[in-house]
Amino acid sequence: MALDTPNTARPAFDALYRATAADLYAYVASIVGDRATAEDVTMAAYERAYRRRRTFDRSRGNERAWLFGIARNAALDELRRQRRSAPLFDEDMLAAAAPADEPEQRLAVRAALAGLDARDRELVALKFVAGLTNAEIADVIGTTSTNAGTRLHRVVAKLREACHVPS
Amino acid sequence: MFRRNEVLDPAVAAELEALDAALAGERLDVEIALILGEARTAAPTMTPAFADTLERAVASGFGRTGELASAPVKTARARRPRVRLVLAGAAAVVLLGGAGTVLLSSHATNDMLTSSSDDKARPLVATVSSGSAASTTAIAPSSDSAAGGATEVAPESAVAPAPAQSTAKRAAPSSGTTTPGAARKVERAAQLALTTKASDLQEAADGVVRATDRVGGYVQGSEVNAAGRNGYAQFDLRVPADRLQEALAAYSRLASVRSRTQQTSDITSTFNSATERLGDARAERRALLRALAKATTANETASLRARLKLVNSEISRANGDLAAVKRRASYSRVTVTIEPKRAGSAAPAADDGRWTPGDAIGDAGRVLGVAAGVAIVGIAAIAPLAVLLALGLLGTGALRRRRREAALDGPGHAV
Repeated sequence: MALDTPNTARPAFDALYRATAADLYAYVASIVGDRATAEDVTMAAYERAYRRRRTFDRSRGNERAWLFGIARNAALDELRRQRRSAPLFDEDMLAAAAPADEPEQRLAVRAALAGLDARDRELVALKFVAGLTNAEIADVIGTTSTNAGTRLHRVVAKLREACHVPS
Repeated sequence: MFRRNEVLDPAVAAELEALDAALAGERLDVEIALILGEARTAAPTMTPAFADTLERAVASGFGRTGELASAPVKTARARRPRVRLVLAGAAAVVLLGGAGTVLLSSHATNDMLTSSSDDKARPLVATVSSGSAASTTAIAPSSDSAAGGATEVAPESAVAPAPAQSTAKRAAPSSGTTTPGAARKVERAAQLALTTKASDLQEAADGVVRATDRVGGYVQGSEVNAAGRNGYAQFDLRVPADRLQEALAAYSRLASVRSRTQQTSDITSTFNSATERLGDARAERRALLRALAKATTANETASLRARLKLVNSEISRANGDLAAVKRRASYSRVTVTIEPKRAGSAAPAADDGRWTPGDAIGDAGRVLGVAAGVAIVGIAAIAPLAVLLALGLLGTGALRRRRREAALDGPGHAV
């Protein structure tokens, strides 16, 4: 079933856009690691989704996972083209969010987030920032729900260890 | 792509459930709350300018290409021409292949349709012989005569072409029997093979006799056996030479014409020879009669009478020969055979020239058969290409996925 019918074409896509814009941008930025590139990729992702909205098949996942999958492909294509690294989160944002009197535990978690590899960072972005379910994450990254859950569990375990730093 | 669905470890499943509950605020988990807060704090947000640009792009349905022209990321629109080019190329190959196949098959169809009506289209052949020379002339197909029109056969002067006449003249001088410019004697013969429904065979046979009577001819011999599908009729007819075409047209109307042949032979030299032999014998008899009138002795009279007897016999033979030659010239020999139609026989049911529903069904069957053949040939030709294309697409897709995933594993990502 397509994302929309002739009668619901714009409203359905607009609703999807409004529900996902901020999360999608954050997710794309977590992959490409650059604001300008993230903006280009986000724009491209929405345009691709708009052009392909009639090919959306609900039996293969919900529209949110479908959109994030498109964005992931666009981001990885761009990343491959640029061949450059992607820091987990915006460095400026991290610096701004780290006042001097920050508790040591918070700083440790932030360092742990920054130390994650690209695949783990992607999982954190999809789970904690975009709020996708494990099944949706599996659809986006092209793996099984079990595999996605196992990998997510492993990432959360790492981050929990960072929380154990004595304050 | 096939994915193996493993069973999640119960402990892992329980912790994931706890994680989901904490993220949903249903369960207090300080560590998850801390991670969630840090992740969301660190997540980049859109600048107001970009949010506005994106909003406008979505609102306009991404209709303004200029808005994205500066974007380095390849958009779906930017990629579309290449995709269209590939699709157009593939479509062109398929269309060209299909067109070629259809052309070849239509040629085959024409052949098939032509052969199916071969009997209708087959020209009749008239073998024309003149003395030692002979020529073959194609005349109108039988369907014409079947439609009621008399088959036009070239006039005598045409069917016995000048070279043939010349040949006859060159061959004749030795006998000295051919007189240049004299009326030529021509013997004509024809064979006609008809087919009709077994139930109509007797009626057709009767029609042959009636038509022969009408043109002033006669039945020299006949054999009719109207025993169902194995029946047949055969006639050996003599019809006036000047009404041969009329008779043939009449026979052709009685049933479907399967074949028709005509022969013409120049018998002028034979006629002249018989005429001269008769003239010589008569002249000899006149001389003998004069000599007999002047005979004075019994022996001389007896000798002349014996000679006269021989000459009279010679005159009788010459008269018979001349009469036979005249008959050959004035009456044409026509052989007519009538056979019942058989299923799948060469003679089609539509030989009467009308297109019946049965013909339509037959034609439809042939067209469908040809279409099926074309489809099979087309599939046979295109299938390997399609398989290669599918394999190529699968391989390209797999390669693209691997490269995308490799982008996450690049050395630059080891933070």
